[in-house]
Amino acid sequence: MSHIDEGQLHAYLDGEYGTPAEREQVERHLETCTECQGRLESERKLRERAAAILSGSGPGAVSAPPFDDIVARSQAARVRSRYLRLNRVTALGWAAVIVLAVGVGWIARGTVGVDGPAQEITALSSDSAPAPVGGMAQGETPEEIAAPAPGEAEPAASGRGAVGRERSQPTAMAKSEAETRAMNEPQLLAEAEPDERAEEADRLAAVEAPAAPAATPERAAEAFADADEARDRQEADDARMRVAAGVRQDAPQDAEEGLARRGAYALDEDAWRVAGSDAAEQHLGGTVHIVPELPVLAYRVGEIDGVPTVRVIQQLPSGEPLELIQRRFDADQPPAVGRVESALEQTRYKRDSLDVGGPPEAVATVTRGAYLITGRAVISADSLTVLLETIPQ
Amino acid sequence: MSVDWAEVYRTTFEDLVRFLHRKVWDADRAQDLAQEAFVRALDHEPDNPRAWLFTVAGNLARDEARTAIRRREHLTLLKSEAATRAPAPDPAEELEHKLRMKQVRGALDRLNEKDRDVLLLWDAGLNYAEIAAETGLAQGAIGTTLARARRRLVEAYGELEDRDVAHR
Repeated sequence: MSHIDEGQLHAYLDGEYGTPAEREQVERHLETCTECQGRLESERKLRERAAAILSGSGPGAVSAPPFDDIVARSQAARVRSRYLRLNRVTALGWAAVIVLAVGVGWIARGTVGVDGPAQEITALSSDSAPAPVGGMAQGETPEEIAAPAPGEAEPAASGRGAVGRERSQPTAMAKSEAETRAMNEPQLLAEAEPDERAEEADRLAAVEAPAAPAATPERAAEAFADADEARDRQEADDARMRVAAGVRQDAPQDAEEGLARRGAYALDEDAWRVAGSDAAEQHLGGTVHIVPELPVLAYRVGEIDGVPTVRVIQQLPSGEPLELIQRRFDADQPPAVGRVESALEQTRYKRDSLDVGGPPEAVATVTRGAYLITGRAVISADSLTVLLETIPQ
Repeated sequence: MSVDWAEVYRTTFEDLVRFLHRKVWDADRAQDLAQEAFVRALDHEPDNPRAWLFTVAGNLARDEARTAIRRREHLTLLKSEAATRAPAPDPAEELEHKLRMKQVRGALDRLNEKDRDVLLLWDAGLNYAEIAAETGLAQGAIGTTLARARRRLVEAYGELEDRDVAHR
């Protein structure tokens, strides 16, 4: 047998080498080949060293949640998926109805000429629309409004508005429908209006309501789906409110508020704008420096003393933020380290006044080419210096 | 084929978290993603659950890196500082641990993606056949890939250690 290669040695050491017969063949070779024996030992040490390196970077103690929790989550996900599918179908259904209604309306418009499009469309749509309670029935004439149908409840009659009075004469079909509706409407109103009836309905509903359902995974899943839907609606409403208020949509509002609340980044926030990495580089006029291997949370662009400045917020493995404030300096002028750091000092006081505890905030400055980079984070000054040193030139 | 999911969960969850941790470098997030992988597995009921779980976990970690970092990390940023700093019994030990994590992460980043995946899958407890199925490599090539990945890891880690010692 020829010498054993590196891959075969690792497979052998991992207990993954071929069939038992092939393994035996390797062992026989190793007994007689000193060169392969030496390499085997060398690879064994390499393998152990690699395993030791990896073992020191584990996630620590892993506590698996009960398997039942996973099962419940899976069921919730299934219900939610079904719910979303159903919602999609419903939405498509409504879209189809609207398209159909508009289409029918458009066709009807073409058949009746230019004189009376409004009333024809009104008449056609009265088939599917619910009867307005307390409003004007579609297709009614001004005369019918002025003279309520026999037995019609007074509040309903008084609620009829001026909109109907602007209409022209309806078609015969619409009029006929209006007459039918006028006959039926008092009954509808009588059912809808009195408070006592509503209260009675409430009482009946309360009595007839089934007992609270048992808390099953299915029920929990439905609750999750409902909660998710409510949250989505709330988020959509919030977004609309922000649009109405003229607030930028790309700004992470809650994060910004949180940062301001903590005072950690209260560096005259009004003067800083959220930017992408490209915009930040353009603003700075060159490469924006970051600490390698740390995720970038945000870029802000602004000015300090009229000099374009970029603030990069990264996240340390502990979850704490690291901020890098960087700007270009002129080779003829000394870097204005003090100006940036004194600006940070003011905010440090603000942050400390929140009494959030922990180690004090460290601030340190390095230069990279023509850039002055001031870092700050709630870690020791030594650690911050080590971190800043890892920023490439 | 009927799968005993409770048993798969018991024997695989920790391996999955370890695998994910070296992808996202956040213990809590690794646990979240491992749970998510199991939730999806229960929905799909794959024939080869262990390999399927690692595939999905790898995809989740990739998605996490691509899209969720800003969203979730912003939220993380807003956690109370007291809460995030509470488990710090020994600052020196903690600093040492963080430095070591940083070195391991830096060393793993120097491996190419295929070598890193094979190494992490082996470290998470998958055998050669499973790794081959997972990565698309021939089973016979796993030993060679692992040998190369281990060598590069050890070399890169050594360089980073030396550099940090020089900085101290």
